[in-house]
This record gives sequence, C-alpha cells and structure tokens, in this order.
Amino acid sequence: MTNEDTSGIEPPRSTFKTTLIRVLVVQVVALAVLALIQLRYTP
Amino acid sequence: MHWINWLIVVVYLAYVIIDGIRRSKDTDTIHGYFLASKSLPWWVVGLSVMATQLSAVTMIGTPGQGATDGIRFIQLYFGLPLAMVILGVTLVPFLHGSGVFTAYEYLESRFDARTRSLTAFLFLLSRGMSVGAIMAAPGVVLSAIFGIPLVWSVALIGVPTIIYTMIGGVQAVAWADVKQMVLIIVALLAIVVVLLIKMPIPPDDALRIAGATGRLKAFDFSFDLTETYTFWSGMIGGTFLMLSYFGTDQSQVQRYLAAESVDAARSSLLMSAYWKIPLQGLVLMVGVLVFVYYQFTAPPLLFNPTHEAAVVAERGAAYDALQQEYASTFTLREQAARATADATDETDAAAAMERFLAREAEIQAIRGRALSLAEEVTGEASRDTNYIIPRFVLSELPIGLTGLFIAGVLAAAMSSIAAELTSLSTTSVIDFYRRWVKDDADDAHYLRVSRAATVFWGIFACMVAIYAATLGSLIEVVNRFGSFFYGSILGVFLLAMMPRTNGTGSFFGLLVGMGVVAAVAFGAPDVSFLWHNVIGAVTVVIVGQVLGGRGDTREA
Repeated sequence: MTNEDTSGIEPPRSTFKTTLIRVLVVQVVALAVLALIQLRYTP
Repeated sequence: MHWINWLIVVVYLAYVIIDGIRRSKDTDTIHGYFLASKSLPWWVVGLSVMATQLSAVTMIGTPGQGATDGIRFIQLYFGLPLAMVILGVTLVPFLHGSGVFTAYEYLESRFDARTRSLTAFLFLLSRGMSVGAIMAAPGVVLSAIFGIPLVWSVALIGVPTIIYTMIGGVQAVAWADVKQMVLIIVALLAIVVVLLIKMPIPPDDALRIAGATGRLKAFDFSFDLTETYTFWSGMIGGTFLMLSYFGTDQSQVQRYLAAESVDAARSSLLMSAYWKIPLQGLVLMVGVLVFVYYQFTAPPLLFNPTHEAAVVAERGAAYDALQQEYASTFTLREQAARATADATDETDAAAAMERFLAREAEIQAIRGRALSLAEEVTGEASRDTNYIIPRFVLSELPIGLTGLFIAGVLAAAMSSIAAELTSLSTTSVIDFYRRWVKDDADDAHYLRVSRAATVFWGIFACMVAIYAATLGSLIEVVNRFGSFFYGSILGVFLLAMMPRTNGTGSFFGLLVGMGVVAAVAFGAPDVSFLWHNVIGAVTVVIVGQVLGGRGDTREA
C-alpha cells in the first residue's frame, strides 16, 4: 500500500486534535477521581 | 443454587443461541460472515470491542484481586486512552481502507508472504492455546462452586458459543456482545447496590477501612522495572500493550474491520478510551467493597470449596484448629472495625484503626497458613482469589441476582471466546487455506470451510480447557512465548507505516525482536512483562529500518 492509496482516508488533523483533547480531558478527570480517593482514604 | 437462578441462566443461554441464529441472515458470503459486510454501527463495534476484552477472569478474578490487593491493578489501563487515539489515526484507517479480512493479510501487500504467514502463524499458536485458557478459568471455578464435572461446566460455556458463532459469524457475535455487555454491567452494578445496602457501616467509613489497608492506593510513582503495576509501566508499557492488542490482534482488529466506515471504526475504539478505566474501576471497587463487607460477616477460611473439602478430609484436625483461631481473631477484628467506624474523635479513630490493622495482619497470617495447608494437600497453587466473588455471590446475593451474576460471568466468557473463535477461523481460512491451499473456490466453499474452522477451533478450545490441568505447563509456556512476540508484531505494523522498509527488514526484525524479548525474559526474569512490549516493538523498528535501507524498498 502506498501513501497515495491511503491519502483519501487520512483523518483531518483538526479531528485528531479535538479527539486527543477530549480523551485527555476524560482521562485527567478519571485520574483525578482516583487520586482524590487515594489522598482522602489512604493514610 | 435456587431454581429461579438456574432458570435465568438457561433463559440467557437459549436467548444467545436463538438471537445468533436470527442474526445469521446476511452471512451467505465470507464478506458477510467474517466482516458483517462492513455494516455495523460504531456503538455496536465499540461495545463488542469492550466485551471481547472483558473475559470471565475480569468478572471473577479481577474483583478478587480488588478484594486482596486493592485497586492498583487499574494502572495497567492508564495507557489505553492514548493508544486508542494513536490507533484511530494510524492503523485503523490503513486496515479498514485496505479491504482486508485480517491484519496479517495487509502485511503481504505491504511486505511479503513470509511476514504475513509468520505473524498469522504466531497469532494462531498463541490464541489457539489462550482461548482454551480463557474457557478453562471460569470452567474450573464453576465446576468447583457447583460441584459439577469440569466437562459439564466447559460444555455450558463452549457449546452455545460454538453454535451461535458458527451459524451467525461476526454479525451474530457483535450483536450478542452488545447484550452481553449490558448484562455484565447490570450484574456488576447490582452487586455494588446490594453491597451498599447490606454494609453495616456508611460508605465513607467503608472506604476509610479499605484505605487503611492500602486497598485504595491507585498510584505508584516508583520507577521500578520489576514492579508490574506502576504509573510508568501503565503509561508507557501499557500504551504499547494496548497498541499491540487493539492494533494487531485479529480478535480485536476484526471488530472494527466490520464497522460501516473508518469514522465508525475510530469511534468504536474511542468508546474504550472513554469507558475502560471507569469500568475497570467499578470491577475493582466491587472487590474492595466485598473485602470491607467481610470485615463484618465471617467469610470462609478457604474460598475454594474443592480445596476446603480436600483439607478437611486429609488434615481435619489441623484445619479445625486454624478455624477456631480464625473465628476468635475475626471477632476481635470485627470489633476493631466497628470501633473505627464509630469513633467520634481523631484520637479514638487512630487508636481503633491501629487495633484493626493489627487484627487484619493476624487474619492474613492465619489465611496464609490455611492456603499453605491446601497447597500441601492438593499439590496445586491455591488461586483462592478467583473463588472470593463466586462464593460471595452464592451466599450473599438475593435469589435472581445470583442467576443474573452467573449469566454475566457466562456472558463475559462467551463474548471473549466467540471473538477468539471468529478470529482464529478467519486467519486459518484467509491467511492459510485461501492463500496456500485453494485460492480459486467460490464463496459457498469458503463459507463451508469457515464454519468448519470455527467448529474445529471451538472443539480445540474445549479440549484445551478440559485438559488445562494437565496442559498447565504447556499453556504457561505458550503464554510466555506469546508475550515474546506481542510487542514485536506491533513493531512490524509500525514498520509498515514507515518509508524505507521492506519484507526482509520486517521479517528479520520480527525474529530479532522476539529473540531480544526472550533474552530479556530469561536473562532478567524480574522485569515486568509490560516492558517486553516496548522492548520488542522498538527492536523491530530499529532492525527493520537498518535492514530496510538495503536492497529494494517499498514506500509506505
């Protein structure tokens, strides 16, 4: 397969950036909840 | 188990088979059978991806791990969201757009037939054995819990799975996964609700007791290569593991190849990116809450009923003595736990917590002696952790919810096994039979062969599961061998997306990568397996790039 073959299905860069930001935000929230639980309840 | 619970299990099994047959309408071509004619919406594929990854071990073993070791296991998944995003912009569009049936088929168009055949062969070897192990784990537990022969528990899981997978192909498997995923989540939430209702102390106090024993410690920032679950092994090693699993393992690739578009395929993976960590957190939290619950309700000294019976039969007096010691220490620990919850000021709470932790250490020591006794008598590793949740479910959940949970365990097992069977069948037929044996037959012929291959792999998996005890060391060897090439295969796919690489570079890169990982595994056995994926992938890329600079090269 060449670059030419797949050029039509490459995602636009802005979509990737938006997705990356969303996923990172969700992950940061999830990690923050875990950190909060650890800090509050682990002596 | 009460007949209503059995009825729920039977209704679930019947429904899965009937629905599988109903979904087999458009599977008269191999494109329909293996790829659902690329018609599946993103949310179906997304739930199927999650159901495939969630096996019965997740339902039984992982909460057990939460009960004994806490939630630190969750760090394994820290790299997953990033891996999903990377795959969404790299391999997914390549594979979905190239019109292939298998990930390995793509490697021939990019490199050569030997790279394709070697990677496909490695997949068949590891997955063929692991699907047996996936079936054996719940089979052994259900057999011990219900006191039925292993053959029956394996058949309970294997036969319905083979039937709906063989008849309906990927379409039936994916739609069954949707319902199975819903069932699994409902079962887990039901347990959490029951635990919170039956818990004699408020949730905040329950978490304080769990936290005091270190079970709510989710982060370990030490950079220790020998420690399996740390923040860094999860973020770095975990990312490579998830890239390998979701990007190059046919059991996962086949899910998103069946998506209706590249966007649908990408979105389906993002569902895991968003939900995997919370879901895994829920599974582990079930275990943590069960641990706290058992501070106030005496659990059995040994959770594995088969081992318990064997110890009672052979070393009854020694076990009785342990039981008595356990009962009196349990009462003292319970009093300390209640005092911790009832304490009105910080000084009292600290003193009560200190007493509680001392009693908890005594209880763990007694359990350790009981486990040693069981190992001595049975000659088997205890694996008692896997029996904590089933014993809790059978003794503590109300009628109906027990059946729901057992159906959930079967659903988790069947969704993973079905995905493995379709992927094994696809790889056998597409990468070997059609490629090397008969490349000019019509669709009807390939469809017959595909169904036969599904049945073959299903029976093979059942046989491995039934003889798992005698094949124990062999399965371990194959699984260990599997960890040698997981990251290396990812390296081959990374090479496929790079310029200046060729078949020679990828083929020998794969061999060198596997060799280096094997050397690390044997030379430094303490290094966590999560780092093997990083080492394998990086080695293959370096060797492939060096060798790819020589001879003919094809542009990526």
